[in-house]
Parts: sequence; structure tokens; C-alpha cells
Amino acid sequence: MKRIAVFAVLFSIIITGVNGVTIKVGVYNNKPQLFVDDDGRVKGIAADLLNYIAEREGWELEYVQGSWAQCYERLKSGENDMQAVIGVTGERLNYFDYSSNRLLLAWGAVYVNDTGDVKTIFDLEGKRIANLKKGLIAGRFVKLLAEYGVQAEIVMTDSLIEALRLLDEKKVDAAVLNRVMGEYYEHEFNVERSPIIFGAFESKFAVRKGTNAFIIKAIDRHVEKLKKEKDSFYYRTLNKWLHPHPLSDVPDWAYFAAALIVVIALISSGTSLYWRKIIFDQTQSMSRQNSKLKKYSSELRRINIELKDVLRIVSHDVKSPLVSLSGFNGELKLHISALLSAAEAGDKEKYLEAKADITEDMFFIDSAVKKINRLISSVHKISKLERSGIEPVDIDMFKLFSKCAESMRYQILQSGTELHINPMPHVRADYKSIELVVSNLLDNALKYLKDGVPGRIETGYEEVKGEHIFSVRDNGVGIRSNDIDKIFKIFKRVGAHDKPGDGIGLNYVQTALRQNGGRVWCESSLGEGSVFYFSLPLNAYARSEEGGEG
Amino acid sequence: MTILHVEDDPAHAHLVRKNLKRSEYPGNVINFEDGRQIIDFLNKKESGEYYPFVILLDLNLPGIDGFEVLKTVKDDKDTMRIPVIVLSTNGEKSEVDSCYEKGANFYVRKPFDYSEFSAAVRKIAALFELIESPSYSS
Repeated sequence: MKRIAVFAVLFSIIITGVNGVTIKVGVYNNKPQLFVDDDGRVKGIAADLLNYIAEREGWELEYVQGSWAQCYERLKSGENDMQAVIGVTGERLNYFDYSSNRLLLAWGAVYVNDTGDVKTIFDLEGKRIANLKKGLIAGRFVKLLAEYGVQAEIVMTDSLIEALRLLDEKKVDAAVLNRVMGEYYEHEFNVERSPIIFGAFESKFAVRKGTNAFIIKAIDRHVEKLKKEKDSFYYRTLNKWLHPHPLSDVPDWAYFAAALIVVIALISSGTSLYWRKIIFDQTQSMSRQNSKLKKYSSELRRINIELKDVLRIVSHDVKSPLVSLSGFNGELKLHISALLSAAEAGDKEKYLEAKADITEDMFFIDSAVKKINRLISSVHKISKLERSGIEPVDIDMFKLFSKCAESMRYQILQSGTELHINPMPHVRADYKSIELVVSNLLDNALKYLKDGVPGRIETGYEEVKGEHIFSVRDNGVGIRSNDIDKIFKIFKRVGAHDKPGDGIGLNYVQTALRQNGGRVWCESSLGEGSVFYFSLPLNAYARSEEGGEG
Repeated sequence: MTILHVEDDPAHAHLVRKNLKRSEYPGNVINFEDGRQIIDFLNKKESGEYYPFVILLDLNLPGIDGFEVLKTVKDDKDTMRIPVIVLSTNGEKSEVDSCYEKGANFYVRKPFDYSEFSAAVRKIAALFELIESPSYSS
């Protein structure tokens, strides 16, 4: 009899497998594992998988929608043939047979409005908590509260989505969900996942105990096979439903935001480049200005030192004739007094002596006044040169040297001096300044020749390191090495004062050359002669323009 | 009884000579126009017969200036005992101090009046007891 019964069952399977059977499947809202969409279509991981298996097994699936509690009861009563997405518990094993392969591993998660308020199970004390009616997780959660002695008001809901809605509307303080559904929905509601998780369980397929074993076997066979292949339908389905926000679902505003960010980044980048360019240009410009300032500063320092020197020298040199004036004024008073006394006494000899003294006093007073005048004129001359602008023109230096020599022709012939002017180039400089330089240097060479020795003066030229270098060489008295630096100072005269001069010639030369971007220096040996060199820039145009910017 | 006077300005040299003459100074006055001349003179052996009892020294001289002359005179054991009266138009403290540091015996600022100048000469004469004339012994 028993054998007949087994045979009957096998026969039944074969018949239904071949002819197709209709399997009633309970469906409740447990997105994304199983749910009914707005168009009434059954969807989710379990639905995809069941459809896949049904197609291959020749099953007709009839989905029967209801709440979880209704689905549970329908399976238990045999009204439905199968239930997908059902947690395994010890009690349920008394009523149902489960598939060996689980659909998912799930656990409970507590959602709240603000995680700042709820960190542990104890923070749920006194709260209103939405919980799924007859739900596996719901039952475990209630036990958990009891275990920890937490008193809370449980608000039973027919679906997990209702629990979430209540939480979103703040009609409850917390909602208990399975983690799969929670993760799926948490982006759509104003809720947050708290750190509280509990009660892991396996979500499986089940039939009423002792019935429809072929369903469970077929499911196990297919699921086991699908799980072995990494890219199988099973994994594609999981991926599709467990990652509900793929790139294709990115909302329009996100694209707009991304585009905006890119535009901002480009603008920022462009702006940054623009400012970097501006800053670079400014830095370059400041660097140029800085080097100009340094140059001017150095020039000012030099002028300041020279000015102090001039003041010191002038004050001394003016003092000297003033001392004479003062001294001879005193003498004059004495001699006038002596003259008057002698006249009164009729002492002719003393009268004439006093008269001679007075003449001498007047001579020295006159000399002192003339000296002061000369000094003032010299200072004025130098100051005028410093203030005067320069007008660069083309100068034939050979012609200029020749012209200056011609004006000294008489002295040259008189002293029997031999003067050689060698070939020279054209330069660009201020004519009056350079004429003054050349005439002063030739005049000095002629003035300080040695007595009794035939004089020889030779001019020279060479180009050295971008400069014109001119020279005036003589075989005159020469200058002591200690005195060479002094000769360019205003009113400074070295050696014997047996030649006429007020000590400004070389200072004048120095100033004139400086105005034209050149300089002057001297090499000399006492008793053997001197060579005075002066330089002018090769490119006088450039210097003139550079100076013009300031 | 020689006075060596170093002065490049002929007017100043003349004034000093006149003051010395008015003081009835009996000795010789030898004038030098620059520092090199007096140093060369002191280095000559024959200068012994003109060995000075004082040097009147201007500071602003061409070539070797007065400071160098002063230093040379005071650094040389043969001439270091010769009193030196510096005559200068400057009168700044730094210059006065510098002269005394180098061994000057007096610093007289130009323009000096007759009494100031002759007092300096008299003091030196008395110090060295070189002159018996009443006008230089007080």
C-alpha cells in the first residue's frame, strides 16, 4: 500500500511537470525581495527567480497578493502552494518545508528619524516603534526589548513600507525592517539607519509541510546550479535589486550638478590660470621695478656720499679764504690805526710802512674774495651739469679729439709736446659733455708734463666687454698711488700747487661721463706719467631709453 | 730756535708770519707748502742745525696731509719730542681728539686771534725753557 502511495506521488510529479501545473504563490510587500508594483505586476528577487525556474519547469505561477500575515496563514492552511521570502524559525518548521538554498541572509535593522537620538537599544525606551504584524523580525525585536527590559510602544503595521511611511511622517519614533528592504528604501524616505541590528535569519522558499516537495526540489536544483556560476541569472538579479540606484537612475539634477561642477571647475581653472598669469606678470614687473629701484637706490647712495663730500670739502675750502678775510681784516684795522697815528705824528717812515702793510692786506683780502667767488662758481657749474639733461647725438671721436687739440695748439707748440691722436670710432653721447671730458683730459696731460723733458701725449681706443674705452697717456709727473682716488674729488688737488687750477676739472669729467653712462679712471706712476681712461656704452640708445622709463 | 710752518695757503702762512713778527719772535720760520716737503726736510741730516722748537701744522695739505705728517713726526724717535701745534679751520671734536691721540701738543682753530696763537707758542716755549726773552717766558 505504501509502495502504491509513493508511486502515485511520482506519477503526479511527472504528470504535472509535463502538462504544466499552476502554483499559487503568496506575495506580500517586501521590496526588493518580493512585491507588487503600481501596475499590479509581481516583482523582486524572488519573483525573478521563480519566473526563471517556472519557465524551465513548465509551471504556471499564480501570485496571490496579501499582507504578510495573510500570506502566512494561506500557506499554513494550504490555500497557497508556496511562499517565497519567508524566514526560517523553529516554530515555522512545524508547519512548513523550506528550500535548502536560501535566497538571502537577512537581519533586522532599526530605522529612526535622527541617529543622534538613538545609538543603542536602551535609547528606544519610551519610544513608539512601528513593527510588521506577524513578522519574523518583528517577533525577534519584541523579544529583544523584553530581554533588555526596554519599555516601548509597538505600533503594528501590515507592511514594511507602511512602517517606513509612519516613521517618515514622524507618527512613530522608530521602525523595524529587514536590512534588505531598509537599504532599498532608505533613500526614498526621510529616515536614517541606526546602529541597532539584530536577529540574522535566512530568507527562503517554503511549502506547506509535507506537500509540494517537487517545488522545493526544483528550486534547490536551479538555485544551487545558479549559485555556482558567478555571472548567472541569480547574481544578476541580486545585483539588479540590491543596487537600486545604478548610474542610469541618476536623477537629472545630478547630471546638472555634475555639469555645473565641471563648468565651475573649468572656470576656476581658467580663473586660476588667468590670475597666475597676472601674478606672474606682476611679479616679473615688480622684479624689474625692484632692480631699477636697487639701481636708483645705489645711485642715490653714491650721490649722497658725494654730496656729503662736496659739502665737507666746500665748507673747508670756503672756510680757508674766510680765515684769510678775517685775519687780514684784523691786520687792516691795525695798519689803518698805525697809518693814522703816523700821519698825526708826522712820522713819514711809519706812515709809508703802514701804507705798504695796508696795500698787502688789501691784496690778500681781494685774493680771498676772489677765491670764494671761484668756489661758488665751481659749485654752481657742477650743480648745473648734474641737473642738465643729455642729448645723445652721433659724435666722431677722432674729430672731437682733434678739435680739442687744435684749441691747445699754442701750448702744445710752446712746450714742444708731441701729440698723437689715433683712429677712433663714432659714439652716441651728449656732445657738450664729451667735449668737456676730452678737453679736460688733454689739458691735464699738457699741464702736468715734466719740466725739461720733451712731452709726449697719445690717445687710444679699444672696445672691451661692450664698452668704448678711450685713453689719454702722458709721460708727465705722474701721481702717487695713494693720491689716485683723491684726484676725482671736487676741489681736491694733489702734488705741488705750482699749476693753475681750482681742483674741479676731474670731478667735472667724472660727472659728465656718468651722465652719459660712462666712467673715468686712472693708472699712474709717480715720475713716469699717467693714463686716463674713460668709457662710454656701445649701445647708448638702449641706455637712454632705459633711463627714460624712470 | 727754528719754527717749521706747514701751510699750503700763502695768505694763512703770511698771517702766521706777521703774528710771529709782532710777537717779536727772534728765530727763523721755515715754511713748507705740503706734507712731503717737511718730512723730507726732517729726514735730512743737515736739518739738525735747524732743529725746530715747534712745528706749526695745517691739516688740509696736498699730497701727504697734516694727519700723516703728525703721525710720522710723533712715531719717529728722532722727531717725536718736537712739539706740534695744529692749526685747522675745522675745530670739530672728532678732529681735535684725533690730533691729540696722534700726539699733537696744541690744537688752535683758525681763524685764531693773536692772543690765542701767541699764548700757545709761549706755553710751549716756557715748557721747553728754550726762550729767555721776557715775551716768551711767562
